[in-house]
Amino acid sequence: MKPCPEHEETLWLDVCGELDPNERPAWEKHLEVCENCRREREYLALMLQTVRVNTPSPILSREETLALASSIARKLREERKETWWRKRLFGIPNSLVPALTAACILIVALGWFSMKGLRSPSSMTHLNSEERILAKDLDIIRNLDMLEEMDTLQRLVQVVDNGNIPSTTKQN
Amino acid sequence: MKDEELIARAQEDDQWAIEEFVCRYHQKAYAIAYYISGDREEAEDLTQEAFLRVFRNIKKFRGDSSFYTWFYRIVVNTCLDGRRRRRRWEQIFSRPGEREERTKEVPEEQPDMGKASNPMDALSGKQLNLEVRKALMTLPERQRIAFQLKVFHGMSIREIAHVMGSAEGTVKSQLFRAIHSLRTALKDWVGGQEEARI
Repeated sequence: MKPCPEHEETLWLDVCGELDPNERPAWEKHLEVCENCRREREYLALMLQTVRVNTPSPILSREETLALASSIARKLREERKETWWRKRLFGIPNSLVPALTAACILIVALGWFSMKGLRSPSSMTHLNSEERILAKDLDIIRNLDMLEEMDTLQRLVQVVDNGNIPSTTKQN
Repeated sequence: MKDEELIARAQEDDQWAIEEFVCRYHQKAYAIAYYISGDREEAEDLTQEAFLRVFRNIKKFRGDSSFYTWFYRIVVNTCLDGRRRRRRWEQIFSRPGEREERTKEVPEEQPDMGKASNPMDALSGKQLNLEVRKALMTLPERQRIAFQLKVFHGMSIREIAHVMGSAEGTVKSQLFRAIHSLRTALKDWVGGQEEARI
């Protein structure tokens, strides 16, 4: 025995207590004349009752409940303490910690590579002969300005050596 | 003390209010966790996690919706997250045979023999109890939750939709399918009882 297909949804909405009050009079009228729908309604109501009765809610004992409550309260206290400590130390919200850690790692890595770059030209001990020659050439090019001033320095030395001391010293 | 006052005090980190709130509502949360997980210990862990989430976020609750649907929503989401995590863990670390066995597990309550008038009634009662549980546990997870919230917690379809984060139509169809499946699974048992009564 099957209920009328066009009333199936109304039937189970009624059983679940969700039927629109406006639809109820028409539905009850239908139930008066349709035995299949009436029986199915009774059957589903009985089935739900059976399920309800045979599925008692599991119960935690008084001790288990108290243990649960105190454990939750303790964990919350610990979390709050930790949050307070973090805020006091860093003054930053927790959500920013990963971003700041990544930034720190990046700064350290960049620092490391730049230090490496600074150290390499001055220390030539680990270079092979060709690299040393190239490095020397590079040094000469870098000190070209000084070489250009060598002429001036040489003339100055010559003047001093020839005894052309300024007149103020001779007078003394 | 009224629930509203209790919630207001819990929002101000009142330790007594927090413990009192847990004592008042742990059974509801535990029942949901138990029928989602099917395991007592896991249900206890999930209940604890759900309450921690509730209290971590209780200050954000502004009272725009009902506190209970907000609370149930957190409990259901915590349980679903917990189950998902556990399934992922099991997929990684257990063998296929073990996994199938675990999914077929049915939570079993010891029947109270004192309630039945004779041992035969107790036996058939226990069997019916087991059949109902088995039928419930074979329902897909979301159908089972919708059915549980409707039948055991007396929620309306609108509230269930809010708790589960689904459309009302989706919840309706989940309930409809759940009732159909249970009807098929329990037809011998419920029909038999009815006949016996007549």
